[in-house]
This record gives sequence, structure tokens and C-alpha cells, in this order.
Amino acid sequence: MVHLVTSDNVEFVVEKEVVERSVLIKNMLEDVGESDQSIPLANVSSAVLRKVIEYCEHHRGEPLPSGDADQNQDETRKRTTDISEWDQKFITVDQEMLFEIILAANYLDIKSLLDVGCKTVANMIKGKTPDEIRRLFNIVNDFTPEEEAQIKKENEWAEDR
Amino acid sequence: MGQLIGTLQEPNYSRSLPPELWLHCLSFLVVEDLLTLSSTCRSFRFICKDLLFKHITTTIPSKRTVRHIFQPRQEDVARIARARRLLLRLHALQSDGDAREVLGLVETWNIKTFGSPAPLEETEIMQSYSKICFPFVQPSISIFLILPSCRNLRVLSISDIHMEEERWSALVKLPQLECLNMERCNLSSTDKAMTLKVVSITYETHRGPPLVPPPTTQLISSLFNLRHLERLTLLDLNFSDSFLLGLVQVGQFENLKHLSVVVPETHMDTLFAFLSRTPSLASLTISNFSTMAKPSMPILQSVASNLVAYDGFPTLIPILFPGRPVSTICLRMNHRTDSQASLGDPFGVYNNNVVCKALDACSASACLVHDLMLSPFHPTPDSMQDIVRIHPDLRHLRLDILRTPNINMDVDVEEPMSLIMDMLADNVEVRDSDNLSLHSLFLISGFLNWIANGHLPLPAKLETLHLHYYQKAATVCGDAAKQRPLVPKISAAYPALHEIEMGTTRWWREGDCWSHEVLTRIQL
Repeated sequence: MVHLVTSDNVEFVVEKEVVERSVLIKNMLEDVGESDQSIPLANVSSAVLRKVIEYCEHHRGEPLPSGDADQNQDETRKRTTDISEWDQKFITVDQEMLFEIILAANYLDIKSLLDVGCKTVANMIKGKTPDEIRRLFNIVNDFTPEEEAQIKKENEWAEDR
Repeated sequence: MGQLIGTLQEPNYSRSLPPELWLHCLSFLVVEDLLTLSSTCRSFRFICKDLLFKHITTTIPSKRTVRHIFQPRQEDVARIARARRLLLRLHALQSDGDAREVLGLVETWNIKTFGSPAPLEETEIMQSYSKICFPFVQPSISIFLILPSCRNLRVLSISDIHMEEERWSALVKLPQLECLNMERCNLSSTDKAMTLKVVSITYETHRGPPLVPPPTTQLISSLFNLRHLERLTLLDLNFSDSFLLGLVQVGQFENLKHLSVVVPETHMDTLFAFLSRTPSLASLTISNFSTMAKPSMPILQSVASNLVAYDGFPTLIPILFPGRPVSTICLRMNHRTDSQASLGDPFGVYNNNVVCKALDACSASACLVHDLMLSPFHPTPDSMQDIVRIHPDLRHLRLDILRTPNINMDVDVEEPMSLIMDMLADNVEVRDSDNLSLHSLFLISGFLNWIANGHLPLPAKLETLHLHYYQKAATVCGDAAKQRPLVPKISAAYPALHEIEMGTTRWWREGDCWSHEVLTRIQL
């Protein structure tokens, strides 16, 4: 069992097999060796860690992606935003939590969870108009008219398909 | 109350992630979405910019469209307007700082022409219209003028361009250029030695005598670098043999790993002469249309001894793989190289038995095949039994199925017909007494039924199964709800199986859980 302490000082006790889906923790355990000492996770809150552990428990035992295979997949399946059905249900959370999960997955180095989060964000953007995206992410249009004209001009290079 | 304040002051979510994580999210998007996102605000503009201009495509009007500019059809107006803007900007580029910045970001540039597939004859057009009133006649010249701004260009695809001395020199000056794809280009000789890793030459018009001269030995020795060349595609229906003959004379291509070629049947010996000079070759694709050709001379066992993947017609298998392990085999009886070729009669030459015989030949020479594609092939209980027997260790199998076997090609085989037959197939109850050869077994979703019920065997270690209709990118597949109960049944019988793709429907397994998606045309 591994002891984890979150930023809001909550302790989690997790099976080694589950927690080792995080490459960060896996490497840490390999370096330090087995001990009862708890690992502080200063960047992760208890609410987020609970979700992350739920994910790791569901996916326990699955092979970790190797760096090599990754490269190939990037080429062939880059454009697919497919997420398996369980993951889809899992990642149906509010935006704040979604971004927190992505940050935590990145920090803890859990590649598959990072991909699920990022694909979800991509799916939110897909097919929307600029105004819909501004409302979605709560952003204001801060371009000057001159900048807008220039963007239009520059984008023409990429527009052609 | 706290809740209310919370909603009033919702954070700007564009700052919730650092740029590198945004980039990871955006890498899953297509250009259209990136364009939209980049016009929402400055921070997204900043994040998108690199990604947006990494791979660009530019369509320029070619010869026939020049006429269209004066007498445009309704539907041409919009794209001509865009092309006109682009071309004007191409001309203005030398004094345009923004464009210079954008072009510096470009890594892949695909320059296409629309209109006539004939090569652009600039001089001819120049004679008809004066230069001043008509700037559109020199798009290719303009592109070669701005190419030096593309400092990071790695991949360049061009078409219908007359490659003459000054254009070759422009290419030589690009520091990062590794890959050059040329379609329907007239290649004049050059002495500019290139260091390209990937070269692709496609020229598919072959009616009447060719308009362009054959490649010279000097062109061949300049264009194909003995040390650098890793991937070569020669789909030039006029001159593949001239290129191959020239390449044989150049020397030994130590690092060439992938070769895709169309070979005139009379030049099989030339192909094998070249293969004896490519010791590292790992994959070979021969895109001939229905041929059974063989080299006339005996071939040394050591030819292409590192080959692990072959895609082509079956007769070369025993020659290429004399008792050597091979991981990937694609057997195609009718390999399409141009749109006209498919109009030939595929049923005339198609025969399951020929394929099975070839497979037998490769098992006789103790080949271990992991990845097999057969096109076209009919999965009947007998033929599948053959595959399982010959290649029990198969991990990946792709079959292209003729949608209406034994029916005359004149019958309309397009969508409505196939939809009806798909529905039929989903409802079919399999009975052993049925006449198998007449059954709607030949339909893709029906196929699933048959596997689930144990009537069609699969290799025991199979991991992925792909079924498509022959020469048809998108296949409308049956009802996912009806497939759902079948998939776990199949998975129970074949525990290694984790992906089944049928036309546009893809099922995949994670743990014990099967998920389902409908692929779009882009993904296929």
C-alpha cells in the first residue's frame, strides 16, 4: 500500500498496482524503495485525486503505453477523438474539474488519462463558432480591428484544404 | 449567494492550462477548428499559430481553369475568388513581412492544382494572354520565388509543374527539405545534387505518346541520393521502367527501406536488378493492375533479404520470401493505380483459390505471417478455414470483400442496394442447411453474425480484424445495437481480439469493455 497526501492535507491509502499507473509515482517508488512514509502531492487536491484514483483503479493491469509505440500512433490516429465508453462517463465533469484532471494527469504522468482529458477538450471545441467558443471558455475578444484584418489575411494560408 | 458570485466571476478558462497542454488538446483538432479557435482571442491565437501553419495546402488554378476565370461556371466562382486572392498574395509576397513569418512556420506544404490534369504549359498561355493583364499564369513561378522563405519546410508536394533548372536550384537551397512529392510534373534534367530522404513521382496519364521526355541519367543520379534515400515511390505509368533502369546504374542504395512502384510486366527483371541493390529494403509495394508476371531469370536467394512487408500480386511471394520470416503481407489481385483501372472487370481475374494457393506457397517456405491483407477476398467457411490452417499465428487480418459477388458489374452496386442487403444481413438467422454460396454472408454485418455463431473460423491469436468493401472507402454498416450482443460473443471465442472494424463502424475493447464509434471519412 502507498500513502499519498494531497494539497489540502487529506491522506489516501492506495494499492501499489493502482498508483503505479502514474509514471511519476512509479519512478519515485523505484528510487526510494518501499516505505510507509507518505508521498506529498502538493499540486493535487483531494477531490481531483479521488477522480484520478477512480480512473487508475478501473484501468489497473492494462499495459502502460511505451514511448516507442506512441510515436507511431501519433501519426496514424492523431485526428481521432475517440474515447471509450467508460472513460466518457468518467470524464463527464464540470470544466474546472476537467482542467484540474488534465493538470494532475500531466503532473503525475498518466499518459492515457491526459489523452482522455485533452480529447474531451478538443471535442468541446469541435465544430463551434468563435462566439460559441468564447462563451464556452468565458473569454473576451481582445483583438483590435487591425489585428482581426491581419489574422484574416494570415489564415488564408491555412484555409485551403 | 456564494454560488451566485461564483457564476458572475467565472474564470477565463483559456488560462486554466499552460500552452503546452493546450497544444496537446489542439493536436486532436482539424484545421477548420483551429482557424475558428485562433480567431477568438489573443492567447488562443498565440497558442494555435505554430500548429495552424505547420501543414498547409494551397490550391492554385491550372490551365483549364484559366479559361474558367473568364467564363466561370457557377460553382467555380468561390474557389476561383480564393485562388485569385492567394495568387495575388503570392505575387505580393516579396514585400510582405507577415507572410514571411507564416511561411517560416510551414513544415509541410501541399501545393495542388485544380482543373485539367495536364501539365501546366506556361509558355503556351503566356502567348495567348499578355503578362500584365493576367497575373495568374505564373503560379508555379511565384511559388518558387517565395520558397526561400520556408526555412523549416521539410515536406513539399507539387503537381503540374515544369521542373526546370532554376526550380531545382530553388529546392536545393531549402535547408530542411527531406521529402519531395511530384505529381504530373515534367522533370527536366538537372545537375543539382539533392539529399532527399523521400521522393515520390506520380504520373498517371498514359493515353497516346507521353508529352514529356523520359528522365535522363543525369536527372536520376541528381535526384536520388545513394546515401540519403529512404523511401521511394515511382508510380509513373510512362517512365517507371526508365527510372528503374537508371537507378540500377546509379549504384547501391544502402538506406532505401520502402519502395512503392508500378512495373511494366516486361520489366520484372529490371525491378529485381534494382532490388539486388537495395540491401536494407523492408517494405515493397507493387501497384500493378491485375498481373501474374514473374522475372524471367532465376533470382538469387539474397535479393531483398531484409524485406518484411509485401503488398502486391501473389506470384512474387515464393521468389521474394524463400523460407524467410515475413511479418506483413498484402495480396491484391487488382491494385488500383488510377481511377480508370478499376473499370476493368475485377471478377474476371478474382479467384479465392489463387490467393489461397499463394498463401500455401508462403507457408510451404516457412514464412511466419502476422499481418495479412487480402483484396479482394471472400470469407467463406472454406476459405477462412484455409487461412486459419495456413497461418495459425496471424495477429492482424484485413479483408476487402466484393459486395456483390457473381453478379454482373452492370447491376447498380451503389448505396441503396447495399443498404438493403446490409439490413437483410442483420436479420438473417444462420441455418446450417442454407446454401452457403448464395447466402448474404457476403455482407459485412452479416459476417459478424457468422463469426459469433462459430460458422466462420478466425485464427486463434487474432488481435485486429478489418473488413471493408473492395475499392470503397466508406462502407455503410449495419445497426450498432444489433452488433453489440455479437461482439462480446466473438471476444469470448477469440480472447486476443481487441479491434473489429467494419466499413465505417469500429469496435474496440479496453479491458472487458467494448466501445463503438462511427469513423468519418477523414479518419478512414
